[in-house]
Amino acid sequence: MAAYFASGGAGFVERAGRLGQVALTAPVYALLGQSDRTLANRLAYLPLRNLSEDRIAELAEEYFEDVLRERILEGGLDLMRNARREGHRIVLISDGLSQVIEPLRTHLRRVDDYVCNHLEFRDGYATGKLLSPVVGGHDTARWARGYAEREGIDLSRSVVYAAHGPDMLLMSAVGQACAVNPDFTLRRAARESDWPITDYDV
Amino acid sequence: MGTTKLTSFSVRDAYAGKHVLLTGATGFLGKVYLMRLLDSVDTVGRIYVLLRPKNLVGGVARFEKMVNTSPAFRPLHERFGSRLSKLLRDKVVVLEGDASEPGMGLPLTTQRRLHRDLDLVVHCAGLVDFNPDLRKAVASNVHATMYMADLVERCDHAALLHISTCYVAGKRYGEIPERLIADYAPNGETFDPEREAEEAMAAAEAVCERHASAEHRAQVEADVAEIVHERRSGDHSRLIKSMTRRRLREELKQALSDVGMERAERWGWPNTYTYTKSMAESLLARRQDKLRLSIFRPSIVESALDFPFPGWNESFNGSAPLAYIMGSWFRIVPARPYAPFDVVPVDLVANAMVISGGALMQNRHAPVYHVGTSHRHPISVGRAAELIVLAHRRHFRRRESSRNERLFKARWDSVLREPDNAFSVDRNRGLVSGVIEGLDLLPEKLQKKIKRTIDRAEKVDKKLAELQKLVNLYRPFMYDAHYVFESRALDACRPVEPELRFEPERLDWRRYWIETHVPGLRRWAFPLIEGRRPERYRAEHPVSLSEPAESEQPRELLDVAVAES
Repeated sequence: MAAYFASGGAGFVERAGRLGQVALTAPVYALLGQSDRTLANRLAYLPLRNLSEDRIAELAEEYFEDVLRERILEGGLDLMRNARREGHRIVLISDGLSQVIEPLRTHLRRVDDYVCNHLEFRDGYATGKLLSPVVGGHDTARWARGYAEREGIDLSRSVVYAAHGPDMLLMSAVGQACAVNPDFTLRRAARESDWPITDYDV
Repeated sequence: MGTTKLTSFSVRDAYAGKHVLLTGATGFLGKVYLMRLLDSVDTVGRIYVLLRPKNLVGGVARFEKMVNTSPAFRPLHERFGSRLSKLLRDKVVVLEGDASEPGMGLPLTTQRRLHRDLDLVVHCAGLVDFNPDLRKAVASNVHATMYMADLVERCDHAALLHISTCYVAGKRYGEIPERLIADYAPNGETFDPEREAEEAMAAAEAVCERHASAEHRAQVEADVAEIVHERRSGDHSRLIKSMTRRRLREELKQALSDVGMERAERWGWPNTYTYTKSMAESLLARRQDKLRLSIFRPSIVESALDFPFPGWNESFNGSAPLAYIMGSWFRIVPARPYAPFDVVPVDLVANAMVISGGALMQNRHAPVYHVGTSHRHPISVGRAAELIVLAHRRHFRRRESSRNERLFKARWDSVLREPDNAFSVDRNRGLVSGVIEGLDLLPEKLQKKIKRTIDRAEKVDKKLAELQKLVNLYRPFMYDAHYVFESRALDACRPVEPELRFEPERLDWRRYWIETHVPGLRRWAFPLIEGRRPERYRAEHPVSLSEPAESEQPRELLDVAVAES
């Protein structure tokens, strides 16, 4: 996603610079991705420094149209439909940017609440930093407990569907967890913890 | 309770039963003001619309044509349908006259009725070209305003709302207060508007005389003859004559435009338009104690936010050239990104006009109203340019765009640069001209072979010349200036009617530029820049004013309308 934004800069030199930065952060992201997703996310968005808020909003809409919309899986929609039928409150947690999640709101009407990452802006330009708390790392479990307390939700009766290694803490914090198209780390953990694993065709 | 009574202000009450005279109703702003009154202020008495006959078409016919074909009137047609004719017959009286003549060229009886009837005169007519014929500019912008002031002075109880422009401030920096300064010139020298208006006219006449002189004609004819003989042999006296005539005409036009620009620049105004507008203000300032008067200064008036419908635009003086250039294949635009870019949607300006007119009639007016956004909700040239680029990006990404547009224009954004940048229009043009000159030196045989290349180079040169003109046109607003126009005066009268408020703070600039303004420009203003005709509207129930009305309208008024049509 960061690469998509970086290649949407105004000038050629600017784009090349930003893409270079993304290329530098990518391997770090891949390495850290399994252990400390918070830092990985913070690094990933650094190349967006000095992009204007207007441009990020527009690029996010493009990204949604070009990439994200096609990646929404029918299976995922079914899961939501079922959860809705059972009277669950649906919260979508993503380490994506709020600007990208924004178009999802109109697309997925069944979701009650969205939790995602927010970029910091100064005078209409991104500083490259993410506002705390950064979603998607180990902090997410802590965040979920706080959220449940605020909203009066019983976590032991909640269900989590997740796909990445760092989501393990979140998954162990709730009553029922399910790994959906999990990565290597999570697949192993799911087997150890007896969490069901579902694989949808992509 | 007392204080709320003092501050509450109802536009509908202020206009109740009042009679308004509007000039410049066919203009971009005048039209929207007229529609605002018809649409939202149904309490208003009569609206007299002053229209000049043009190309043998009378004022009434012009009015009907405007209502029936201008897309701006579509919402009014849709709302009232076949009843619109009756509404207009009840409310609107078309006066056939000319604002730049004393007494507006109206018969004395009509004038006398106006003196008795009028409560408010909204003088919106004017020449908005930046560098027009100086004589025309003085006649439309200075003399006409004085005649309008004469009329208001003779009226029993009328007030004058004079539409000017924020840019009368001229070449200055910083915050410009809402003040009417008598005998104002931006460079600070002593300025006598009366003498200046006379001298300007005299200078223009002198130019005309010089151009009409026998020596000048002979000189031009000799030049033309030389060019013709150089290219062709034989007798071409008729060709020479017609070319001479054309050249004389073009030269005179250019000279009359130049003399205005020179005088304007001498005092510190960027162009003839602001110079003549400011002269009119200075002259009005001298008559302030005899007139109930407000000067209304909008900044750059742009596409409508909501009314008559989102994106409606007829102006190509503001951000249209900038947006146009940024959507062309030309990718470098000269501008200073940090300067404020004071654009304001036309419906907000029309609201402000309605409010200040009401304030005038209730004697609660301010001497000057600035109607812009640079003070209350500023946007910089840089951000505006970014939003234009993003709007173009969105447009060119559509499936209907050509492959080149989708591949390049949608991904390769225009950027702002200082005007002396290596890729500036001027330099590009120099390069292309050089190529053309070089090609000219080649032997004739070879020239024929590469004719297509030469043609293409000439086409590019022509296009660049157009762009150069556009760049120079908007430069004063985007590059040379750094103003903030104070705008507080309107806050004194906040209407109780929410749809008539002036609230620039509520503008969402991103949505306005990307979803409303640039698409509006593309639809309504770019065709004008390219010399095409934008789409027209065809009313389902065409309006007719001259149909006999069944005793709904006062008999005498009907007489006026018919007698003058």
